[in-house]
Amino acid sequence: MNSSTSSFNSEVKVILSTLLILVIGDLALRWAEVNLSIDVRHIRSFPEITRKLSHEPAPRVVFLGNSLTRYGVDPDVWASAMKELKAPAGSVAKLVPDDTTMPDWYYVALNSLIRPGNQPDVVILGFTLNQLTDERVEAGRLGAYFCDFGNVGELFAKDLKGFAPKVDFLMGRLCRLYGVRDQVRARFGDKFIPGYQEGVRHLNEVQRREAPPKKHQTAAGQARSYQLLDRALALWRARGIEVVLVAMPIPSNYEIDQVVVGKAQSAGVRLIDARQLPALTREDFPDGYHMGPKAAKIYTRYVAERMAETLRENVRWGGMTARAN
Amino acid sequence: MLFNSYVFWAFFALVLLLYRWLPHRGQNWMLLVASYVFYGAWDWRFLSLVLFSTCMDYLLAIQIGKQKEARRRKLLLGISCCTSLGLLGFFKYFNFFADELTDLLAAIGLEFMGPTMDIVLPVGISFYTFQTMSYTIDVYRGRAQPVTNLLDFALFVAFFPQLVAGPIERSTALIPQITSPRTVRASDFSEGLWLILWGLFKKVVIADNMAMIVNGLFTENPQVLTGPECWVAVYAFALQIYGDFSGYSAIARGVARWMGFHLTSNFLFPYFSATPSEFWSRWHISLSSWLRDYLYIPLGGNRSGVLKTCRNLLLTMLLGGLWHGAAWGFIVWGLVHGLLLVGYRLGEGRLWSRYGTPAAASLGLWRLPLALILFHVVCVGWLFFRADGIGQAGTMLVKMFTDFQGSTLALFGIGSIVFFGLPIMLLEFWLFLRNDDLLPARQHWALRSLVYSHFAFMLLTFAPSQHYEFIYFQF
Repeated sequence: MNSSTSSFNSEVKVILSTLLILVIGDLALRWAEVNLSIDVRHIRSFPEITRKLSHEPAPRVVFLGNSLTRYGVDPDVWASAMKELKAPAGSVAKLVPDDTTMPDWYYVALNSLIRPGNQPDVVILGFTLNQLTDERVEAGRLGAYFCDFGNVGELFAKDLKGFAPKVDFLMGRLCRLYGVRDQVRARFGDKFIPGYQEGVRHLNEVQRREAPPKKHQTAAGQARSYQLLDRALALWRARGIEVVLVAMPIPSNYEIDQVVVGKAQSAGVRLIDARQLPALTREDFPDGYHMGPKAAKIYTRYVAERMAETLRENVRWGGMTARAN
Repeated sequence: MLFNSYVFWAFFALVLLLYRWLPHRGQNWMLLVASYVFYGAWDWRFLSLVLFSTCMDYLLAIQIGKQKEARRRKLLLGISCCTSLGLLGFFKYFNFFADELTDLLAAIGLEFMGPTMDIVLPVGISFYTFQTMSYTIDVYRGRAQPVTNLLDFALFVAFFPQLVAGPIERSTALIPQITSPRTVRASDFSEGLWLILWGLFKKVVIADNMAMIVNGLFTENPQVLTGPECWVAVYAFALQIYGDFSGYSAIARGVARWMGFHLTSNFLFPYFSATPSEFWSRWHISLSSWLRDYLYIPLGGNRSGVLKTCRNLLLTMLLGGLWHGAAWGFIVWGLVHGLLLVGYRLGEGRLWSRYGTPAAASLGLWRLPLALILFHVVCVGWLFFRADGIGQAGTMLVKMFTDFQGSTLALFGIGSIVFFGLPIMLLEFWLFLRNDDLLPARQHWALRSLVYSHFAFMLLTFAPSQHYEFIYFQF
């Protein structure tokens, strides 16, 4: 065997053994990923949550959103408020993956919420700022958590424009190391870098504050795109699911895009404006963004009061699905 | 089409596939087309500039080679240099000088609205302009023969791995590799693989993670930053620019190596330098050697006494600063390095007579404290290089030496620098001691696969969600 062949063999060994180590790491992560974070555990439990909900009494209400809804909605307060308001308490579930927006919620709705004989009666979608727009399509995360290969046609045709997001999606779908990188990074950061969470939050905040406004965010949001919201509303309407949009409170004030108001009206969807609840103060947002327990009680009660009549109607008619039929 | 994008690697896979299949001339044609596609992907309109530079210098160099009369040769060289520098000056400096003129006249009470235009800087113009200039100057000096084949010369100007951010190759090094058939050996593959992974790691894991800290701290009002936070901003930028630019250069070398080309090494562990002149023989080597050969030495170098040597050093470094762009920060950065070199030139005799020769310092205990001191002076230069104006740099510099108030943010910054930067600096220190940046490519396959797995793991998990362009694209 000459030296050139042995060098070539050595290169093949390097590449194959590197790939093998990565595959082993990936498999180990698949096995252990639910221990990485509460959020991953929550996402992996979506099938279980929706399956359980289908066996619960109607009306079955799903709160869809992100960590704002996770911290902001208190199911116990919801149940007691419904009882007090003489509305059917029904059953409640929350699908609230961290740091998600409309693109994620659409695919959660498509893949986790809508199952034959297994769907909620009411979806309450909580949002703030521009979270209903199509702006933040995180392809890798969609691949890792919220989509499967069955969605590739729709995703590639409508949502992932360009080459990079498509590869990002495939990487997220196929490689768990890549898919859960945010959680791995946070874990390592917390362990090895002092003040990691606070530092990252601070630097992001500075950059957000100082960044020049994007062109598409001017002119009353005229150029904003809401295709995924449209598709989600159409999907829920076709399945006879009652949809409610809730503009949630955060410490700072924000505008609701009039395009969203128009879309809600034309789709016959209720829009609850809970941006500024009089009883809430800045102290009710302990980390400067999410509601604390006291604020969660106030917010949940506020939404429950506005939903009581809808739920009574829902039960009277045997659910939206029955009405649609 | 960035080296850290999927589309580049898809493009390169296709290029490599065709490259293996084609004969030598076909390879060159294909590489030229690929280089134009690579450049055109950024902005196809500026391909006309590359083509113009190519045709002009191709024809002028042939004429310079033919001419026997010194005056005519000089005239032809003058046309080439003035046109190249004119284009560079227009795209890079027009608005800066127009604005400065307006401000200057306003300061003495004259109202003048200088012409300003919305000029987009063509990516890589500083690099390929210097590369073609070095070619015509070398032909003029008789150090290189004019290239008679336009295809070969066009590929020399536009070769895609080094077109937009260097290394600035000399015609004597690159053109023979274009005109002769190339072979790719197993060692080329292994060294290319090491260079590509090492470069990607430095860019994506180190530079891009430092970019988040740097951008955040330099965006903040400097008045609210503490001294340690300013130090963190500067240290992080020192790591960012090193990771970013040396990462790019390493990937360029690796990509070229897989096609049988050997490009110049642009960085050789510069932060371990003990003296300013050593730093400039290790940092952006292709530019510093260009400035030495085509500016410093023609100005007289160190041949005409101490004063003129100091003048030449200052001028060279000031122009080196201005090469980066039209901003006072770059000029001050050049001045800092110029003064540093002048100071070193004036004091080196006394220094070495007291503490030993440079050769002794190269291995002795003196290197560590000298390297640390030099690194901090270099950091002061980086502060002016990165800051959004002299005012911000000045405020931060004062804070760095007067405000010692600790903060969680500073602690986070130091933690991040240690977490991301320390392992690669330790690895580079080992390579520095061995004076061989390709040493890892020759280690046992098991060790290499462990190192590459670590690189791959970090690239998969620690790449920030935001992709950053290479800093030197803007130059």
